[in-house]
Formats: sequence, structure tokens, C-alpha cells
Amino acid sequence: MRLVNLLLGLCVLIPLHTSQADTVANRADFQRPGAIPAPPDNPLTEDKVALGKTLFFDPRLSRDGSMSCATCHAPDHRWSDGRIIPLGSEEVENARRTPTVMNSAWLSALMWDGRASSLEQQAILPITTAHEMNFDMDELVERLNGIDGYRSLFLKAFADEQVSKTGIARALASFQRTLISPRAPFDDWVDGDEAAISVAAQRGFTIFTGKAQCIACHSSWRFTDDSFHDIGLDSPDLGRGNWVPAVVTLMQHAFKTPTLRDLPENGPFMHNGSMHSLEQVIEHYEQGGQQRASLSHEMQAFELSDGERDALIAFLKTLDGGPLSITVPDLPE
Amino acid sequence: MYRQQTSNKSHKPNVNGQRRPIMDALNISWWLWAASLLIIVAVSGWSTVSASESEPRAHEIFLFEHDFERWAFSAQPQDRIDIINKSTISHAIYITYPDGTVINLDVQIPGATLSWQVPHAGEFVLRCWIHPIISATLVVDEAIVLSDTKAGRI
Repeated sequence: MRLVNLLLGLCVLIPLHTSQADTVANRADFQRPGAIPAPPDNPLTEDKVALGKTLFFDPRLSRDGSMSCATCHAPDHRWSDGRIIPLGSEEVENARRTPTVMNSAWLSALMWDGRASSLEQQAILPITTAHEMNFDMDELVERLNGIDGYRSLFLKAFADEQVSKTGIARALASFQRTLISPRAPFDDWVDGDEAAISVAAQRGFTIFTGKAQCIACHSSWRFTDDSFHDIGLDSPDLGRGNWVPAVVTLMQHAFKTPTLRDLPENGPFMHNGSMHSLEQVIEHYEQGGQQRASLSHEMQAFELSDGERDALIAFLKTLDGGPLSITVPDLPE
Repeated sequence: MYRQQTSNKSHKPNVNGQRRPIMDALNISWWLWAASLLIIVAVSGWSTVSASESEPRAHEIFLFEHDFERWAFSAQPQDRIDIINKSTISHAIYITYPDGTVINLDVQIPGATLSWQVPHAGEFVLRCWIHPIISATLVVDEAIVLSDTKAGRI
């Protein structure tokens, strides 16, 4: 009788253990979407994407012809640049690491401080920023209008061969909307392939969504809540607090939650590129960050064993589906 | 001779067949009194209704993780809007007025309620500083003053 009871108990306990990952968070919450969103006034078309891709790789969008969007958002650096701070920003106070442009179709606020509310709005900013492409939109329009190849691309994309500021922004935004993280082992696991990620990684998922509460900010299939938090970094940069009223305490030192997909192997991580390993990042969160009035309410210190930390890192690595490569376009003459 | 279908006793001859002038006067007065009474009752009744409907009301808006719950009420100027944080995370709602004025509400921890009084008619945009995806527009119409319209009809 005791043996029967023991066996019955095991029959209950074993399924509970193997589905522990599912009890903590619903895998469906991380399911990849089926379509790319686009605003009603700029629906995705092949021709706009093609034009946007050409513009993205064209250094003639910078005043001196030396820098394109792809200079800082390079395919071989996960559409960032692998640098602590961007090229040309060495003299800029509180320069911020180049974020990836992958999965930006789903963003509701862009830039580390959220000052751009759409891809169309953001696309223009680097072109006109002094330490970046350092150009003027009117001059750029004039330059591109002088290139026959661009006029024909604009004609295809917008039924109007005249290059325009709006057209440039819409085309660049359209191309960026197509930059989506390749499918990762984690995605196969979400879809039911239990062997897609290791047992250690599954344990790491449980820690991510449970004890460490990473999911409090790194949520959804993109592992970001698109929101702003002060995570207590030792940095003078006020981030979103630079343009949000000071009375909104929680926005001082707050930066946008970055995605955890397509992470560079050895960093840099954080808005200021101050960390260079996932171990370092996790340790920061375990300690809870600098205690100040603006610290996010989601920042709660916790403790992980070495094994738990390794499992968490194993899980984070399952979010990498490899680099998204594309064919660099020929530039029009 | 024309007789009103609702002829009253004043038009009936007395026992002796004579008409009584005072009764005629009373008959006329009776209609006037009845009409006046009807008007007084009607106006006072409508006035009561319009007074209660123009008083400020309170409405609730529920705030969840990354969205407001859709609401069905119609707000009017001076109404109070109670924003209740039903989520597990903190929010920091701000309201942009039609003229661009921005009003910041306090940081709202889970379970907290913050109130805001509608200043006037117009479209007010509610957003969260922390979670920009949270955005909704409250359309406020001018208050309807029923006593004015009812008086016009009379």
C-alpha cells in the first residue's frame, strides 16, 4: 500500500516538475507574431522597402559622403556597431551606445529616451544630427534629386519621381520594418519542440520569469516592454529625464528596455556600453542597482547560485537565431 | 350657436333659464388656473431634472499593464475621473489638454487611485510616461442644459 502511494505521488510530482517552466509563465506570451505592423499612412510595399534599403546603405545621406545608416547599424554587428559609443561621438557628453534596429517595427517609442514616436520620425534624426551624418534635409533632397537612379526609385515607390523628405523617411522606415530577428531555438521551444533548448536553458527560463523577475521589463517575444526604467546604473545621464518634467521622478535616469534577442557575445551592454558580459549584467541586477528615488519599482535585489546564473545565461543564448544577413544593394547613379 | 363640447355648467341656463355671469367668469378662470398649474408643475419638474443632470459626476477608468480598459461613459465638464491602477506595475499618467497643456498625475503604484477633474469640453489624451504604448483619448462634450431646451418648446 505504501509502495502504491509512493508511486502515485511520483506520478503527480514528475509531471509537475517537467512542466514547471510552463506554470511560471505562459509560453504563448512569447509567440512570434504572424505579420509586420505598419502605419496606415505608410503601408509596406516592395518598392518602398527596396528604396529604403538603398538609402540605408548610401553614404551620400551624410554631408561629407562618409557615413550611411549602415555605418552604425551594420548587418555584421547585429544591426548595431559593436562599439561602446558610436563613431564620431567621442566628444559628445553622455553619448549612448547604438541600439539595434532589429524588430523596430513593433516599437511605440524610439531612441534610448523615447523622444521619437515613430520610425518615420526617428529615421531623420541621425541624418540631421551634427556628430552623426551632419546633413540638412533640404540639401539632401536636392542632392538625391540630382541622381537619376533615385528619381526612378522614388517614382516606383511613390508614383512621383521627385525626391521628398517625407518619401525618404517613409522609405527608410519601411526597410527597417523588415529587419526582424531570425527564428531562434527558443522560438522552436515555444512552439512545442521540447528538445529545442537544453534542460539547463529551460531552468533558466523559469528563473528569468520567476526568481529573477527579468520578465518584469523584458517581456513579449521581443523581450522588451518598450517602456522606460531607471535600473540604477552609475551614470550621470538622465535619459528620458532630460525632456520629461523633473516632477516625474521615475523617468529620471530612465532608459528604454532593450531587446534581449540578438545580443552580442561579449557586449557591450547597457545604454552606455558599460558592461561586457552577461555575468556582469546579471550581477548588477542581483545587487538591485543604485538606490535612488527614480529607481524602477521593478528593480528588486535577488540572489542566484552559480548554477542558477549559468542556467539563466544558457537561456539567454537560446534567444539568438544568428545574424540577419542581407545583400547590400547597388547604389544608384 | 356654437357650444363647446366641454361646456360647463356656466353655460347652462339656471333653473329659470337665465345665464349667470359670475359662473361664466369662473368657467374662464378655471381653464386659466388649470393651464397655469400645469405649466408650473411642468417647469418645476423639468428644472429638477436638469439640475441633477448638470451636477458633476464621477467616472472610473481602469488601468492595466499596458493599456486602459475601454470605457463607455460620457464625461462632461467638471466631472471627476478616477483612474484606478489595476495592474501589478507602477504607472505615471499625464494628460494633454486640447491646447497642449500637460498635467502630470503622480506616480501610481499598483492598486492606487488618482483623480482628475475635467476642466472643459474637448479631447484629452491620457498617456503614461513609463509605458508610452498606453494611450487613450477622452472626448468631453459640452454639458446639456435641459431647462433651456424645454422652455423653448413651451
